[in-house]
Amino acid sequence: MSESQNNVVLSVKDLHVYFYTNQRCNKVLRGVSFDVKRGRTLCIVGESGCGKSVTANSILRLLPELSRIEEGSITYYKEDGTEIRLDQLEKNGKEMRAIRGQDIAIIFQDPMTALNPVFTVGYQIEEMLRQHKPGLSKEQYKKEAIEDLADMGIPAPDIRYGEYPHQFSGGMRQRSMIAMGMSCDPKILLADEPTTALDVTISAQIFDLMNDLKREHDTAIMMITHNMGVVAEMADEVAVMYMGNIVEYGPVEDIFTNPAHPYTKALLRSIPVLGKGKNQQLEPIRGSTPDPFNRPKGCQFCPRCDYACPRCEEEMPGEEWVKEGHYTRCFNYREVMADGK
Amino acid sequence: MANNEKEILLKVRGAKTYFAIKKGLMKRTVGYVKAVDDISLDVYRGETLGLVGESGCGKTTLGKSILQLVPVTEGSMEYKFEDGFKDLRKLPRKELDNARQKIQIVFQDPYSSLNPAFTIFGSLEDPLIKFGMKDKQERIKKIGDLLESVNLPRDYMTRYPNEFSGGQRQRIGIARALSVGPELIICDEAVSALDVSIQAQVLRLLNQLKEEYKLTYIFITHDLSVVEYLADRIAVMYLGRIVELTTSEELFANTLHPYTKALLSAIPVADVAQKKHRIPLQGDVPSPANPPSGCTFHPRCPECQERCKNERPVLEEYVIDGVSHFVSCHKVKEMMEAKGAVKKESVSE
Ligand SMILES: Nc1ncnc2c1ncn2[C@@H]1O[C@H](COP(=O)(O)OP(=O)(O)OP(=O)(O)O)[C@@H](O)[C@H]1O
Ligand SMILES: Nc1ncnc2c1ncn2[C@@H]1O[C@H](COP(=O)(O)OP(=O)(O)OP(=O)(O)O)[C@@H](O)[C@H]1O
Ligand SMILES: [Mg+2]
Ligand SMILES: [Mg+2]
Repeated sequence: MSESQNNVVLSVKDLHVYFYTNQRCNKVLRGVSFDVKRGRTLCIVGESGCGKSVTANSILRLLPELSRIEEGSITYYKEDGTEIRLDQLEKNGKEMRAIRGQDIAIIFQDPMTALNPVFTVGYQIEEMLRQHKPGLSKEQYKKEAIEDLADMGIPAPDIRYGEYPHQFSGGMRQRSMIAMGMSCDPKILLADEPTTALDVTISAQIFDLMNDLKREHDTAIMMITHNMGVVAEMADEVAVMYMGNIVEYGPVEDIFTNPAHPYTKALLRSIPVLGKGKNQQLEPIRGSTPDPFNRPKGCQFCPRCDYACPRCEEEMPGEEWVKEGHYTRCFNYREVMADGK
Repeated sequence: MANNEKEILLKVRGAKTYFAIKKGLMKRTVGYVKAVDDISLDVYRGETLGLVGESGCGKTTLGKSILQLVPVTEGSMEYKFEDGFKDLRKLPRKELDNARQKIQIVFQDPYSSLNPAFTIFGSLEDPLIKFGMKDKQERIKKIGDLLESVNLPRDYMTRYPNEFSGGQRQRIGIARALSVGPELIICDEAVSALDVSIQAQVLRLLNQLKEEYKLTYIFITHDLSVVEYLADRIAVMYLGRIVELTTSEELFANTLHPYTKALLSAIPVADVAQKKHRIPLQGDVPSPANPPSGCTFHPRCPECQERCKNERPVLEEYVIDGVSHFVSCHKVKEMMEAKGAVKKESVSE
């Protein structure tokens, strides 16, 4: 345990984030804990709206006005051993701004929040480089920006360099944003659905680049995705989220072969498998996502769960350790695991 | 489905959409991005046509060209109205507006397609009013039903777009497209931001609605397992052109074009035991502003021959065991001729 502890670069503990809109309180994150380790990839998966993006945005303190970190801590461990409590920094203070992009980079889910429509893509990448690699000449910045675009498989990067975001295809926008995120060799890369708009050949290329970053700079990667194929390929560890909690966490092999939470299991059953064509019965999870303002009292997944018992209706299960490095929030996990696939 | 039952809904012929590349202070045009470069295809009523291909190959532009949302350079897009086929490109403004009720598009980028200043109700009621739903209570009910059909609570209609997660917004986009009773829906990466369980729900929903309302879909995606599940036929695009087009079963069982083969090999599988070795495509993605000579795929093609470098292959139809299969590849052509497969006229006359 102690050895792996040393490798932790980011530790999120019992994070609660609430949103206050329309005079109501939406408890979006309700006690999320996980560690991100040097040179490892943590994939976060979970239903749309369960709080994945909010988790990533909280780390960099990019939450909107009407939200607040209510409880918990986010600690960044620098290489020199200093600990920085990100949750206590001033949101737009000097320290936080220095960390953003330099130490911790984020690739947003929506390229248009990161790209400014009135500047050329090349200029925006250069701005990023200028901030984090000062002292180069004008030509050097330009050269590097063009190289970054080329790395992303964007054809004719020298022409594209001078174009505006609206002249790019959806996938190209996404790739320019990835280039911005990766250009400064960050210690931690938060990637929020980085390749949703990209076809397989190009996402494969980008995953290779991420793996290079991981190998060469020991970068820790936290990747949000809903593509279980990508998870199988990229992840070392997986965190499965449901309605604001991590309901299962463990090494990727265990999550796929020995899921211990009914939600994880259901998730794995609902993937269309290539080669089975139209004949396959996709099994969407029965019932629907609960209304966040009208949550179940106990386990959030209870109303849709095949293994639910009376206790689940009353109480939110804590973290039950299946084995070292693998936990689940389910009272009946033994039954779930014994039940095969 | 027998051939003679098929009713053509949309006939695209020789469609070209070029974007000018401008340079310098005078904004001189120095070249063109050939985003869509000579595409011909038929869309049948009631089918789902999958459109797949690399990022930047022109999928979105083709969708927008059909709806005349970008200036089309050449070609025709004939749509079957009650009184027969009419070229959407030549339709007067007012008729085009009406046509846009029949043909809906769900945009790739759900963020930019919802107005942040309006609640969801505000965004969704607009098309309803435009198409004659005068009573507000009726609109509230309709919008509530639509939200439920994409598995969102009814009362979300009072919220603003920025209060939603990425996947929630994508579903709102689908609800909006459904609101005015369309015939043809162009879904541009409509499920790509959705997690698998909700994706499964939405895919099922799309299939259900298709049966119920006899909808036709053009489904743009880069996720081959999704099109395989959903599509009747699949068109594979490369650099502004269609390189292979056939039924979904046939495409997977009998992949002919080398590009399609490469695409299939690159798909990540949800199985840790089977970490595949991908065969990444060799070489750089060529630029649509300066496409390679001959077959545009030749610099990256593992099966490239001398001929491919100079001579552009045509999209030709072969009939294999009664199934029509369009491919544009010299090598495939030779193979087919050797086998004596029936060859038909190419679509672009
Ligand atoms: N700016 C905001 N104002 C109010 N509510 C918000 C805001 N941003 C997010 N939420 C709410 O917080 C919850 C979690 O959102 P989040 O964006 O983290 O979801 P997600 O897991 O990333 O989903 P997706 O896969 O769809 O992107 C959602 O219920 C959403 O409605
Ligand atoms: N408004 C525009 N002005 C100039 N060029 C454009 C414009 N829209 C698209 N393009 C160019 O046309 C080509 C095709 O773009 P398109 O958006 O159709 O690709 P796509 O196949 O949808 O890709 P993706 O999967 O990345 O969304 C790209 O090279 C793009 O840069
Ligand atoms: Mg998100
Ligand atoms: Mg597109």
